[in-house]
Amino acid sequence: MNEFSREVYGLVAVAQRELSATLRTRRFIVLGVLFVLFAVVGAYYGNFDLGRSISPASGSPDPKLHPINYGMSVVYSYSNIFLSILGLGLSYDAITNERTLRTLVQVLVRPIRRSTLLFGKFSAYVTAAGGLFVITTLVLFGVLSIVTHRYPSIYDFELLLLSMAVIMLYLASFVAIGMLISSLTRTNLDSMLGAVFVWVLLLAFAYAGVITGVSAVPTDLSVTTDLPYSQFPLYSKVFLWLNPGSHNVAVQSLAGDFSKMTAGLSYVDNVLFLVAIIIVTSLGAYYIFNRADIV
Amino acid sequence: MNAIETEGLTKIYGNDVVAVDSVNLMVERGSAFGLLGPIGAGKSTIINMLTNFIKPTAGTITILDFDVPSQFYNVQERIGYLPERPGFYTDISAERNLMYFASLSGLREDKQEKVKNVLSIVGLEGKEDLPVRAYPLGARKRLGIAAAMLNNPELLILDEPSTGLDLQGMQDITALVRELNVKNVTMFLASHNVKEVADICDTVGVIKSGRIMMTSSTKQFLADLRGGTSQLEVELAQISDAVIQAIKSVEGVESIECEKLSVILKARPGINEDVNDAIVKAGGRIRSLRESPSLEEGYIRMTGEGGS
Repeated sequence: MNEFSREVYGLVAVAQRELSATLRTRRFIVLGVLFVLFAVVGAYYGNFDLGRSISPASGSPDPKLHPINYGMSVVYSYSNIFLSILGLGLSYDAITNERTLRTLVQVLVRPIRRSTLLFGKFSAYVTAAGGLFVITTLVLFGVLSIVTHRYPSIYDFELLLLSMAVIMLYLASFVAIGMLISSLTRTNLDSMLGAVFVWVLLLAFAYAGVITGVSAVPTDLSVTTDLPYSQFPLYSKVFLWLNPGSHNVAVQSLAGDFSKMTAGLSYVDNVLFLVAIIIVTSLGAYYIFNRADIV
Repeated sequence: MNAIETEGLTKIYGNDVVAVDSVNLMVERGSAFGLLGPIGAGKSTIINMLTNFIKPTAGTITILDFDVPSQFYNVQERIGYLPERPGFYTDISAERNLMYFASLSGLREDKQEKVKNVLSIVGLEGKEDLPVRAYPLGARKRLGIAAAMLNNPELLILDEPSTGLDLQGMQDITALVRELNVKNVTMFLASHNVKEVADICDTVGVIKSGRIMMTSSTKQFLADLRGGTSQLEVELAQISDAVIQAIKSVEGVESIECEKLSVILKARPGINEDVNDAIVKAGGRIRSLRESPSLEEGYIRMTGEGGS
């Protein structure tokens, strides 16, 4: 077996073991249940909102006014935050737990690169959390369609798939951040505290971006007005851009509204930002782990 | 041809904590090398550098003709490692642990067969379905050896293999490791236990405060420990001329004194098994037999440190 095929084989072995172990962890079950619960609550309110979208002319439901995808955007708004917690929650102790169990030396004494171990674990966490997200979303999409009698067009379904791809990037960015935390810390407790700290910090960055931005722009904002992100000063935008949640353009994807600016960035730029966050944090995790003492 | 060569190997933690100081080692292929030293002498640090778990501050390491760390991937394919406390995924079975490690070692179609084979070698067949958390330490050490053998290593690195085991467990592990060495696997064993090193290794290096104090054959090392002549105190159930004559006839016995049921003899070191056999053959019964200085006493005298 040559080196490349051995690495691929090792990667699959790591990912399989990690996926099987992750699906049995208490944290996956608890956070997964919370995610599904909030997605269902979102679907309930999505259904409620769809029910109110009556055509003024005919008095009957008007799918053109609010298609089924609108209901799914409500599902996303309720549940996405739990997806970020799930992504971070699965990955924050990826390395430190192996260190604690003393299995890290058993693994790394074998012909497998540290990058392969990291990527195998990353893939497993994205698959576990992403799998739950995909199944939940498709089931709720089907249920909402049936309950509201608003059946999706091919285009609606394409937009749904696109929004799911964006959310997978959003999820992967939090998994990558968790992997970075795990590479930086030595014990499970440090990793957990690090994960909580980073999650709160990212949230604080988003709020700081909005607060400093709004206070710097002299506009009269009402609840129905979109925030004038483009007019925010650069430092406010940077605060916003640091949080992967700011680049989550899943709702725009669902609506097919690709011209709308979010966090002062275009649709494509937001997607690229998510990809950049994944790459930068993953490379950081690799750089640190590759140079770290294993024992 | 050497399996391991280190030159000027040094590890300094922080600015001034010297864990390993300019260590030069040469371990021949097929040999069993014992790195003997008290706890904290730097044995595990050397092993951690050999296995690329920590980076040396200075010096070079060559294992099986490959440079560490630049060619460590080639080394990983050829070595087995038993940590002092082998770690496993405790919620899954021993077999599943080994299957996973076998996959990482690059085994494919023959994986299942190989796992069964190593489990059988270490005497864990029939217990492979138990979750590892149900395994006592002795069984985990055996499982650790099984894990280390999965890739048919040319070099086996063992860190304190018998630490934490009872007498029977120690004997079992020692026998197992010796058997592997007979099969031409090079052994690098770090231990603070003189007897373990003496039982397994043919070459010994003594390390103290991060520096190698001496390297010699085990035979020479044991002779040095006992200072040329040792004293053997044998307490018999009953004494007879036949037994005394039998003791005198053992090669290496220099003098003999009898006092009631006790026999004290000056003899060459390591003669106790021969004396024991001679007494039993002559119909005598031994209540106790003690050689002094013992290996441990000699080791303490040599290094000025406590060994076990």
